[in-house]
Amino acid sequence: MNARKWLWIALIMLLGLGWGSVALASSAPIVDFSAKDVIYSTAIADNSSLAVVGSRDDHVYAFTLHGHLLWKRVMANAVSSVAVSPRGNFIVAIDQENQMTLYTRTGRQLWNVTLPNTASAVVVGPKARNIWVASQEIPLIFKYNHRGNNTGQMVLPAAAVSMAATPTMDRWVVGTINNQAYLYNGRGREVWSFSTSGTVNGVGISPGGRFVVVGSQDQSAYLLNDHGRIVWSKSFGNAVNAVAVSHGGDRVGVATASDLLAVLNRSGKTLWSLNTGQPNDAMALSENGNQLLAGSQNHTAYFVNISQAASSFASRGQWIVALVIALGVAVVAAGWWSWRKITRSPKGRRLIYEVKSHRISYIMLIPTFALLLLFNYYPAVSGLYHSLYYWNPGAVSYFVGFANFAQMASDQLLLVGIPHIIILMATGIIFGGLGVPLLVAELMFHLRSERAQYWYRVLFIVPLVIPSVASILIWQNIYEPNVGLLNATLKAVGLSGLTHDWLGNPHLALGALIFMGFPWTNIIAVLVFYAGLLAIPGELIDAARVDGAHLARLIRKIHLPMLTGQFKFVLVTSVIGGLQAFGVQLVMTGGGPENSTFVPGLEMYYAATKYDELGYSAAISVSMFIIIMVMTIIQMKYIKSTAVE
Amino acid sequence: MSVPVAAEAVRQVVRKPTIKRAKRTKSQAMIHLVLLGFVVFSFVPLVLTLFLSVRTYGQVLVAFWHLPEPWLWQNYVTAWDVVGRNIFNSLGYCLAATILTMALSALSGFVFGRHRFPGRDTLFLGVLALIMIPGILTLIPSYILVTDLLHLNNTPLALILPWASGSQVLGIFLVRSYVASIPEEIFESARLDGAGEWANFRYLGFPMSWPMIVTIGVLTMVGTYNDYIWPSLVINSPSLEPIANALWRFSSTYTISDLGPEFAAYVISAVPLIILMAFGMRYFIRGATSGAIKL
Repeated sequence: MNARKWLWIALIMLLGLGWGSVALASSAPIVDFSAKDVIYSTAIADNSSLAVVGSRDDHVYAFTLHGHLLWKRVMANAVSSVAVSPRGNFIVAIDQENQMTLYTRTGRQLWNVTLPNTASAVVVGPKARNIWVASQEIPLIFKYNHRGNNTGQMVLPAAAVSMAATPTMDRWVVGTINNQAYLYNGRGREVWSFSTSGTVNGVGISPGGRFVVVGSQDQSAYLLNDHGRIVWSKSFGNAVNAVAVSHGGDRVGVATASDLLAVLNRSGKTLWSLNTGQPNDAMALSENGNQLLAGSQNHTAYFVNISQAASSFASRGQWIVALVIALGVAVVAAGWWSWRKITRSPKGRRLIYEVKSHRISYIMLIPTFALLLLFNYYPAVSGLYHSLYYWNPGAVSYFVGFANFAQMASDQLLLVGIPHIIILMATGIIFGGLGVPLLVAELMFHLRSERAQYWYRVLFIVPLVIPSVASILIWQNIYEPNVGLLNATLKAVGLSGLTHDWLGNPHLALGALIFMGFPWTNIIAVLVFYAGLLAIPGELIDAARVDGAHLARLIRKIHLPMLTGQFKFVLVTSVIGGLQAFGVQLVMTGGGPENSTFVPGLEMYYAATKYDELGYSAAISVSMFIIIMVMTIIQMKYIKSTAVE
Repeated sequence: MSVPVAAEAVRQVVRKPTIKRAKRTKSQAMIHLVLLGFVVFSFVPLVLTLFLSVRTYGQVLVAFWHLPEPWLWQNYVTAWDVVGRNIFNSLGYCLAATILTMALSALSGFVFGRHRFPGRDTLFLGVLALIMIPGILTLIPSYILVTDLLHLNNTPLALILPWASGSQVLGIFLVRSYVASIPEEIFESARLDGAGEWANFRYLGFPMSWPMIVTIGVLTMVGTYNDYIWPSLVINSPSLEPIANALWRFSSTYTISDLGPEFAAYVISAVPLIILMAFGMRYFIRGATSGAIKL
């Protein structure tokens, strides 16, 4: 007994130690810099020698690649755009009073010019010989040389919001307000264009020009190859404000209007991400993609060493290995100790003898427990555990605390799904769980002919031969506006005015799902109630009859109280099944139209399968698990079963 | 015993036979009427499916209520070409999972029901606790386990093993209660005759709990044959899909003009369940309603 206590204490301490070290290790590779206001723009020189930040606090800040501040310069107004030449020798900064200033690497101001227009983006070529400024209001690019002279302009199809260029400026890309991204060659000829469904807030081009990344108001980021074909696209659930891509497309940085900073690889796998708590406006990556510089509206610039972050997560893996070894050693030691204790006591010796002589029992249970541990226990624990993680199997996962649960509070789809699932569950219980089955069971019970009772049971089971997917698809067809049974029936009885596109109308779709399965003769529940009625002692009913009880009174005073156990069973199973149900929506409506049939289970499924948000998906399922547990316990506790033993 | 006899006697006196009988016949007819109404409505999808399976979209659109002109039996041929393979996939996966479930339930249910060994109740509680864990908690982590850790996705094992593992929980529970009600003397006398624990299971426990094992088999078969959410996660290859997912894909990828073949496919997909129900309906009923006894 004592040994076991010590073993537990040792385990808990080791776990705590491991947890703490993990938390420490995962925060190391990020360096923060706090400005006094929102960070609007960031840039990294292609040779990684300099990093630049422009903030609404009117300052231009220059740093080393790893976030060590070199100098800062004040401008006349908020600094909206910054750019740095490929070798890091020149910095261009533009403020919101349309002033454009060129600085040297050391922070010396070379010149300052007034732009004719508000600028949305700027790029600067080698030796600052080419400085291109995109106008925010008119579809023009103004070109300047290293002396600050305007050397020309170029007409764009639409006003540009974002712009990026290769170091040699032989390929450059602009994102415009008409939802397009355009790739141009060095002579200003369009190579291709790419359409999104929203303003192109951010563009990036890899230093070799082989990859272009596009971030759009349509909430997606797209990695494109040099032919403008999609390598991957990924929805982030909120507008993408800024993007960047490293050489060879190995790293893609994304900053979103929610609060996400993320780095993905060329196959779209998330390598790293961070929730900053505020929208993020700026993103830059070093040429090799190892260093990220992002800016957020929370006034912070984040210098992140991506490879170090990854390796620290890898070293976190080493920590876990060390932890497992330490745990193993602890378990073996404790086991050895308790073994000695047990073998020395007579009671312990008897236990060992018992275990040994029953080893066949344990051996016979091995297959069951092997499967249960792998396919039932492990997933359950994994779900609980990873709900606290940014979960990215095969890549970098890291602890995020309750962030996944906090995300649920702002997930509109999830929130809109909650009343839907309550309505569906409640109507399901009222009609298909209790109402109709109870009625049918009572009717069957009052049939005199046992043969008839048998045949009704058979007849009600027959519809179960349709596989559930087929049944859902058949109901989908019943609701179909042109060839559906429901509209055909309405037309046949002269009610053409009532015909609808039942599943296409957001006001009717949820009702259609409720009505699905009509007349809800859920045979399992019928049989449960029917068996319950048969089990009521005949004496009880006869005695009531003698007392002059009518049928209604008989049902109310005897049948219903005696069926409490059955009610409880049907209620508990309906609530458990109803809360987690999303199969019908998955096949039939996808949660639409206009999310009118969306349910939380569907969000869980989509979060995992469509949006790759596994930790978030786990958090939804854990929340639903807790709710189901609580409701089950409440029902088990407060519905008193009076059924005969 | 005396109370019902007395009640019966009182009833005999009170009853006015002729009026009562007429009234009773009328109320019986009413009950039949209502129940038949329920039967008719619950058969609507079934009849509709048969009705549409031999028609074209055009026929349905123009004259919904008319008999098909002509009867398009070739819809079944078309449907078979699309989902025939998947029917056999499903039969393979579901039978494998069912047999595994039956074997594991029988074995472990017997051990928990008959053996006395240290830690038995704790281990059984470990099985029973899984009944309380809803599928939604384990769905996505299982998917990650099977695809990213075990790399079983797009193999039959991705369906068979998790299905069997999940189904055996209820199975063990049912077999345990069933074998626990068999008198211990039978096993004791076998032991005296020199039967080991394995022989006791093989020649006594297993055959004696066979009705319950069949019940578990029918339940597992129906459950796995109907599952489409789990296969949608771990099987992406159309040629490996079980029938449920093939029907789903058929309806979502084919145009509305394939209406007839789609419904023919639904009819085809029901055939294994029709056969199963024809032979195992009472087992299915017993299994499906078994939970109610315990609450």
